[in-house]
Parts: sequence; C-alpha cells; structure tokens
Amino acid sequence: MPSTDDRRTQFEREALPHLDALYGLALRLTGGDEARSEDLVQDAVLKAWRNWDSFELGTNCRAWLMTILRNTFINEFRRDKSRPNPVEFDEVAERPPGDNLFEADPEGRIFERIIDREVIEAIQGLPDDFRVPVVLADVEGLAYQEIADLLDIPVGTVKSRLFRARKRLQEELYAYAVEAGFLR
Amino acid sequence: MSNAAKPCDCGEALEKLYDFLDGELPDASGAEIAAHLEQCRACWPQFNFERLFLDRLAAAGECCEPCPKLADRIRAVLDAEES
Repeated sequence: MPSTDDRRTQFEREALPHLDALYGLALRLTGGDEARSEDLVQDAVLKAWRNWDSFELGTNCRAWLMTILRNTFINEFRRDKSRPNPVEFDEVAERPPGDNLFEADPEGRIFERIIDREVIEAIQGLPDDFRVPVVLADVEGLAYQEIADLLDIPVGTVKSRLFRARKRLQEELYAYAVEAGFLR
Repeated sequence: MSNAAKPCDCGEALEKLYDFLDGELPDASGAEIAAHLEQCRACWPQFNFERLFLDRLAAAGECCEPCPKLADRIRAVLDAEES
C-alpha cells in the first residue's frame, strides 16, 4: 500500500486528466445542466478516490471513471419520480411530412459539415427519458439489454425510445441544415 | 460474414435496421441482412445514411467539455477527505 502522499499523487496523475471527459458525459446525461454535472463529476471522482486501492494501475482509468459517473447518474435518475411522462414526447415525435433528412440528403453530407456543438445541443435537448438511452447507446456504446437493466425498463421500450429519439435528432439536424444553408 | 447467408427481403432488412447497426442481431440474422445489403441498391443507401448518423452522434457525444474550476474543486474535496 503506497503512502498517503503517493496515493494522492498517483490518483491525481491517473484520474484528474479525465475531468473534461467526465464533465462532457455528465452534461450529455443531464441535458446540459452545468451545476448538476459538476456535482456528478465530484461525486464520481470522490467514489473513485475512496475505491482507489481496488483500481488496478495500467488498466483503463478513463473507462473506470466513466462507469462510476454513469452509475452515479443512473441511481439518481431512477430515484427521480418527478420527470414528465414520456408519452408527451411520443405524441410530438411524429415526423411532419417533408422533414426527412435522408430524403433531402441521402448521402449524409450534412454529417461532415455540421459542427459538434449543434449535434450536442440536439442530444442535450431531448427529454430525459429519450436522451439517456441515446447517450448510453450511441455515445457509451451499451447494449440494449444493459440499458434496459440500468434504467429498469423492458428492452422493447429501450428500442422504441432509441428509435424515436434518433428520428427526433434527425429532424433537429434537418432544421439546422436548412437554417445553415446546407440544405434547401 | 458467411457467403452462404441467404439474403432477407427489403421489409425485413429495414425493420431490423437499427438492431443490425447496433450489433444487436444474432450472427445468422445479421448475415442475412449483410447479404441483402450487398445486392440491394434501395436499402444500402439508407443503412449507410443511418450508420453515418450514428457515427456522428458518437463522435460529438464524446467531446470533452472544459471546466477549469472543476480541478480545484475536486482537489479541495480530496484535501477534505484526507484531513
């Protein structure tokens, strides 16, 4: 067991370079809530510090920290019963005729031209129950079953929310592309 | 990918589009869709478009977000833990 100073130095060297990545994930999960994201990063790093002796040096510290942050967020998310019913989003998620990004840009050129900030804002603007599965699947790369287990919802619900959220994101990107003059 | 996989039809391929792109299909079912895409001019562009879309989400979503004050805040919390 290293001395306290060594342990602290080692922890700061290994963990603190990942703060910006952790904060980025926290912002995606919370929908851009800066104060909540800072708290989330702090909670995750503190848990990591308390469990630092169980971390095996040389393994992927970033992935370990991201997992701790994700689990910390999910625990809060599942406890929060104040979120609105996702049915509201289901009702407005129907695509208006003509707003079809694939038909307007079948080669997907927009994806090369659009800037990260626009994509991030579209993701962060989704309602909680749709944003969280998208972040877990499309950013974190989790499987449907893992997401279902984490959120305590059926796999079919995960798939349905991912489908609707992705279509909503395409609508948002379509609107952005038209506004930016990429599409007419 | 098995060359022996029997292609599925367009309806089945499109119905399973995201399952396929998300790597959620069993090997045999995924191979049927892959075989279909090799020969279907109608479906391939849609799959390619959705792949580009998902890749774009992943790339943007992984962006770091600088928050300079976080490091000081974290160090202060660690100091408090150690004292």
